[in-house]
Amino acid sequence: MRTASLLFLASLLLTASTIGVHAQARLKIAFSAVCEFTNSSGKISRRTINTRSILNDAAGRAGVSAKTLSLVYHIQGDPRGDLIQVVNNSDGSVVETVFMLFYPTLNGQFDGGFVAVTNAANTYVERPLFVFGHQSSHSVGTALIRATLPPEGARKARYRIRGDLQYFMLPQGSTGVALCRGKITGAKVFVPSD
Amino acid sequence: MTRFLAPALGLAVLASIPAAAQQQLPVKVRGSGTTTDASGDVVRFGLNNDTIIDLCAPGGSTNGFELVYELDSDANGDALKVVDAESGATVCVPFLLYVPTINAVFDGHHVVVNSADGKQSKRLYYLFSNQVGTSVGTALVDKRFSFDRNGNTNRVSITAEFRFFRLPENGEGVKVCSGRLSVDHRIKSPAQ
Repeated sequence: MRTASLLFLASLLLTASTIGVHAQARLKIAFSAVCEFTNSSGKISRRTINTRSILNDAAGRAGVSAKTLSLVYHIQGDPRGDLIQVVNNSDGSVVETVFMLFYPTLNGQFDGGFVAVTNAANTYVERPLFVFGHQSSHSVGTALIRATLPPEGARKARYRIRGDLQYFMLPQGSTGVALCRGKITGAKVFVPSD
Repeated sequence: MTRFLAPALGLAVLASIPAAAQQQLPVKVRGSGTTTDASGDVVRFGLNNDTIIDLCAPGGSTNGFELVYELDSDANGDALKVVDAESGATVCVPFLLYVPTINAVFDGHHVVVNSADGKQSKRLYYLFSNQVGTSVGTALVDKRFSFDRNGNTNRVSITAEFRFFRLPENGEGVKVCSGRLSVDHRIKSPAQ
């Protein structure tokens, strides 16, 4: 994360993404992941992380009700890629950034914005992204994002996003290293209620 | 970011499964990829052993070559190698599977989920290809080991879910690929 922050200025110089027309779109998503870790008996166990647990954890840290929060996928929420965030339902303000999904690094930092498979109309994009969390300044995995996007100039913005994540979590509390396989799905544009 | 590949290969500690160290195990790859064709349409293609071998010699014959998974290929992790089917000599290395970088390069050997009985080991590896010095994807790898009554490894099973990208090459655009690989290898003990 520290490296990611330090590289902010450099990242502004990067080539714009190929889906510029969809900049800043935020979609409500459902998240589910199964994480495997070694339990106290030395056996490999599983635990689940989902939208509800993410919102509950964020609500606890923020001292608010989880009902006031949503989990969103923020397309191009950062010059380096996309963000998965917990936001306030009423004003859309960001409560937490759960994951940062950044373009690959090829020569400079996060200069792989062009590494995507898109159709000529830019209404479909398939993109590999590197997952960053809050435990390490380095990538903790990858995400394969497939997004159907509204045509440029469309009166109704129809999105569909699906993603498969592979990531690890470093030891925290009494839990050791965990390896996680996650999915996200979303189609509804997030609109603050205020 | 596991981005400084070449200079620091010697920094990491050895991996933890000496019983099957540096064995080349026949592997089966199945998957698919997408790319954009000349018409601007997104097209899907299949991925198998031959398409991986073809990364070494695009358009050439894959006869006489074999794809193998090499455990503990070097201090940083495993490798997917193309070898000469007769001599076993390495022809090329389409993919390296390296442990994550946490603070220094490839220092994430502790990012592993092991069972205490030594029969199962899971890792998230970063994939490095023969195109670029930085990571091109990841693989979630599940290794299972069986032991004979003397404690020698007599069977290695590996399954992995991988995803990677290929940069434009040979007149083709970016490719995004995903799939599975599997290894099921019995090891004969000296007594057999």
